[in-house]
Amino acid sequence: MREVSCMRTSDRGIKAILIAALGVIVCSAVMIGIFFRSELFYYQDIALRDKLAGTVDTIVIGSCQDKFGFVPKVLDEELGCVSYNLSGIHAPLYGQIALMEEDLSRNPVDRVILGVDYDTLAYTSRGIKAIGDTKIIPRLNTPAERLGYFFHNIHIEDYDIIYSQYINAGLVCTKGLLTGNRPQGVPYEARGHYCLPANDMSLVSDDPAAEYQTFSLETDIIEDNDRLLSDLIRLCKDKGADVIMVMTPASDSYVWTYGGWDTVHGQLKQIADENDIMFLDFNLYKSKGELFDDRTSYEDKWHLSDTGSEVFTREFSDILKMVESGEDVTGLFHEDYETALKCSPYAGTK
Amino acid sequence: MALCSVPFIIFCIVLLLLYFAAPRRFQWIILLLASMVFNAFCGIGAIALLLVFALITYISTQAIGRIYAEGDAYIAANKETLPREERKKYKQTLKGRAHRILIAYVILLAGCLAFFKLVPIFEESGLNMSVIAPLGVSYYTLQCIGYVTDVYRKEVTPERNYLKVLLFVSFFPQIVQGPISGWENLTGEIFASHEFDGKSFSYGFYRFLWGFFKKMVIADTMSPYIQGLFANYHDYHAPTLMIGAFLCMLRLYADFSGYMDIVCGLCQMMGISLTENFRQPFFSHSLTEFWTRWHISLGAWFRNYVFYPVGKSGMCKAIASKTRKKLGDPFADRLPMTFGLFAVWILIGLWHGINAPFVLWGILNGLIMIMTNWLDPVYGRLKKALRIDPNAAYWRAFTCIRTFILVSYLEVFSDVGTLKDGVGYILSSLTNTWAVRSLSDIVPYVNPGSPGEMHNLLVVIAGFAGVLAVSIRNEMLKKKDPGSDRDVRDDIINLPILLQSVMLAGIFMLIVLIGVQSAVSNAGGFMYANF
Repeated sequence: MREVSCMRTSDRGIKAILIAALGVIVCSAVMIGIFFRSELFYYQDIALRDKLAGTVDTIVIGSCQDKFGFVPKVLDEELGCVSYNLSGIHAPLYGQIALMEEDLSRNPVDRVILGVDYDTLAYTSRGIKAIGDTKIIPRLNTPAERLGYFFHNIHIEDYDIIYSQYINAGLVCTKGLLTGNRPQGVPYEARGHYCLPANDMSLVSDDPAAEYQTFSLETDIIEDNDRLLSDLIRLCKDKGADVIMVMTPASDSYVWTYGGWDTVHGQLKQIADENDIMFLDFNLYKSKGELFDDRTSYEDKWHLSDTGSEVFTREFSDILKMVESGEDVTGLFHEDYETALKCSPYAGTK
Repeated sequence: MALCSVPFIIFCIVLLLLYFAAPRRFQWIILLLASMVFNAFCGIGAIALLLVFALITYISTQAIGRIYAEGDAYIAANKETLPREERKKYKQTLKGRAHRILIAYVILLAGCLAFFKLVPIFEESGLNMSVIAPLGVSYYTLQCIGYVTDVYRKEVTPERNYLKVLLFVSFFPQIVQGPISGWENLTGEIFASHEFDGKSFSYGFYRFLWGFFKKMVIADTMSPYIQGLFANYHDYHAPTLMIGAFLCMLRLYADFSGYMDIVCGLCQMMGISLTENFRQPFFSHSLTEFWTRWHISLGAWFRNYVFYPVGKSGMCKAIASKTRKKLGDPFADRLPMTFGLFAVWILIGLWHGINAPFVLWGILNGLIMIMTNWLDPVYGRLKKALRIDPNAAYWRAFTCIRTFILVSYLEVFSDVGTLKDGVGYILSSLTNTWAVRSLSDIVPYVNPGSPGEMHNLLVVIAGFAGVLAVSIRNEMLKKKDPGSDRDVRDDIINLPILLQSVMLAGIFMLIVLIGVQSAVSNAGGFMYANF
């Protein structure tokens, strides 16, 4: 009798574990399925890109700074093109390549604006930064591509964060669908650009001089980021597109408080030169001070706001027109950060 | 390999499959291989040190064992011819030889441990040593010393198989932060063969999952708030800092006992019982009782290998007998305990870290216990005079709360950082402003406008309520039947199966939704692994 009771206890435990495991698997599949199918998040753009297939001739590719910085609508107006901002939040370079492979193959692209940032070469997508991958995967067209990307690019130690992110996103989608309070997908007009409101990013300090280069940018190149950047350029050029490398402007307070800009610029410039493409760094743009203001042009220290991005895209378009008409624009940019920083609004305090 | 990670889960699944698929007499070899693989993730240096420690331990125990065996053989052969006095003298000579080996061994291992503990100090003073203390060195050093001492005391026979000694030293569930097991306890489990048992497996799994919940959902979610509080304690209200001190202790409990639940649960799935490290510590009525319920294996180790040897040492006995005539029995009787406790707590402080906050933390713990013991008769009289019934519910509740406050403040003292900060935090928690105007003055580290933070706060509170409920139930069961090993899982297993499944799935989903994000943000390390 005692043995029977013991058997029952063990059976009950095992049965409960198996049912719980089955429940978790089913719930996870449903949640992740809802997330992938519903395309409710601002970065999910499969349907939109599908709709535009065959029409896009200008693509912006990069990470957050570029997603917030380039306004396709303005590019279209200024350059007379059909553009799309394919950039991704925290997008690693291999993720950008995966997206570009898809869109280059279905569009007559003749111009690629390659956005680079202060951390393009130092960026690692491990740990919490694997969030960038979670935003790339649902933008890939087929389940096979998504699985291929997952197993090829994601480190096993980051599986938990990816799974957690998708379950969270699935819950948000389900809640949104049930309550009618759906998150915003990518609007057609935005075409990949994500709009952010402005916040005052002015240096809050009585003594800005004391804040000068108190931090340092990461200048160690991670893994094979330099090779991946070259691969991305080559991929675009092989498809017949002209590539221009651009760094969007960061707030003056950020440029002021961080050191190592010239090193980062030099690393990126070297890759641009090796691949025979032009590199425009808008932190070195001589008119930066007139066009952008830390109080209104930025959402945070690194990202342009809605007004900042519009101004920037128009200015960039003008420069690009000059470049494409064969004009020399190098005189519009400072040679290095040391010179540029002399024109910083905080320079008078130094 | 981080415990709160996918590779570890895969590692556990593979281990369980291999363990139960392997012929039973080879199961311990599977555990040895698993331990080597686990330690290999910490680098070749960690494995090399384990191999060396195990080898030194093996050689030392063999040498001591041989001395005793030779002596026994000699005495047996000359039993009739050798006078009793000669035999006694001979035995003492043998013991002396064994003692010298033991002393050399302890100096060598404790020296290594001290070296690793001193590295951060050397590096702070500008000496670049590029040495990282191997994972768990503080734990397996004590375990090894305990084993060799047991062999010296003839409490265990020396193991002749080096690989078994290696498994004892490197057994992976214990390597990160204990428990510190004795030879008999651990080897009785890991070298025995175990069949798959549904009850053990499911009980183990429940505990395994609960451990991840405690660590990832409770401890890791609280970490950033507590770190923020410690970093800027000058700016907060006194009640905030007080709550912060209690939360710090609760987080440490969730972190450390969560780890224990993970490893004990995993071992239980294989049918292996590990030494327990916790027994509802917050139900303690005094600091002394607290240390018999918190980090039990560390306390037991120091009791066996430091407290008793110091208390029973010739020097202690001599001082006690000299003072007995002048100051009386009560005084003399307490002296061995006083010396023993003092030695234990200095060493426990140093074991945690060779720095001022830990040493002072150890001294304070020791002093409080010593004073409690010396003043025990006074307390007794005082309670009698005030007509306090020590068994009354109100008094028991009061002593529990008092002990919790005491251990929380002692913990904060060593956790904040430097000695200055430790003292500063405690003073600020008493002298900063008490003028609280809103809830956010008390818990400023949670932004009421952020739904995510509010959700996390609610989950942490619910999690603590769950931990408290489990502790109360376990304490009740222990009170009812101190000899039984019944716990809350015996209640859960009798719930309807579907309800059990929902609970398990719910806990798992909370880990996924909240715990994973918190663990990744905090790099997911265990606090006691730093010691």
